[in-house]
Amino acid sequence: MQSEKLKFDFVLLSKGAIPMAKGSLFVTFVCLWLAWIALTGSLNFQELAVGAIVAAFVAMVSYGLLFRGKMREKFDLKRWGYALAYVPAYFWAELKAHANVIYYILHPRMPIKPGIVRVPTKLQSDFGITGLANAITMTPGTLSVEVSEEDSSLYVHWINVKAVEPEQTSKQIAWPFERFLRRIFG
Amino acid sequence: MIEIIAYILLGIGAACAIIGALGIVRFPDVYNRIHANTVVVVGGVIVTLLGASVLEGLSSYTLKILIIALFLFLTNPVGSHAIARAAHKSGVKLWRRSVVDKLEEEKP
Repeated sequence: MQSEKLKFDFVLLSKGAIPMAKGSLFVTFVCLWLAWIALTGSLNFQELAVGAIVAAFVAMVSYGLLFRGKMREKFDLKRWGYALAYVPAYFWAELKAHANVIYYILHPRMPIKPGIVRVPTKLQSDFGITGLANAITMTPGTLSVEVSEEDSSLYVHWINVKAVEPEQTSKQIAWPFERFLRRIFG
Repeated sequence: MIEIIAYILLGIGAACAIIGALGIVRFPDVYNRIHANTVVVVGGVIVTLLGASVLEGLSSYTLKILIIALFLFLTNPVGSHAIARAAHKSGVKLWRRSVVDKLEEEKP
């Protein structure tokens, strides 16, 4: 099922079947070129020329990836607001998780209770699920081992299992990230 | 003032790296060691890079440092997930005192 979906996407991309704004190639090119200029940090003619060539090539290959879907959704200010609010919440979760795991490492008897639990999620989009799985893996103490599409849940290795029931695991592991991600990606 | 913040960040980074390395040695199985590895990458490397960028101030080096941090941030979870999934698929057992393995029970 997964591979068919991927193939489908690829065919759409390669034939340009997705209705895209004509300017999206140009916008991608300009963004890439500006990134090149910012990174090289010089306005030398040769640098600019090589940057333009590379940016044009990369833009031609990848502009379909950047501008998929409706533009109106991309510039929805509410989503950007939630994305901004996600940053401090994420740092806070990261800080707590670090303190927790450092405590387990330094404790002489190492009071860990590891196990793999199922964490159901209500996120629908690919980006949302990827973001949730990555956020869970990036916080020490929880590690996503498997993503299951048919029952829309993650299997998470948890260093200190506090609950096995799906509602509880979802609340304790996924909710700090999911409440933002469901607004950002859906 | 800026320097003090930078040195605090560098110190936190170094401490996290040492503690994480200790964790990799102390933890009992692959999955638990990956948690310690995450402490090294996020707490150790990324915080050190942030400290270096604060120390450097506003320059093109800062931008490069931040981009390195961003790429580490994007690629580390993918690697950790791939290692854990491969370990579980190839039948690496959990530590004998692990309490539950739902993945084994529900998707054998």
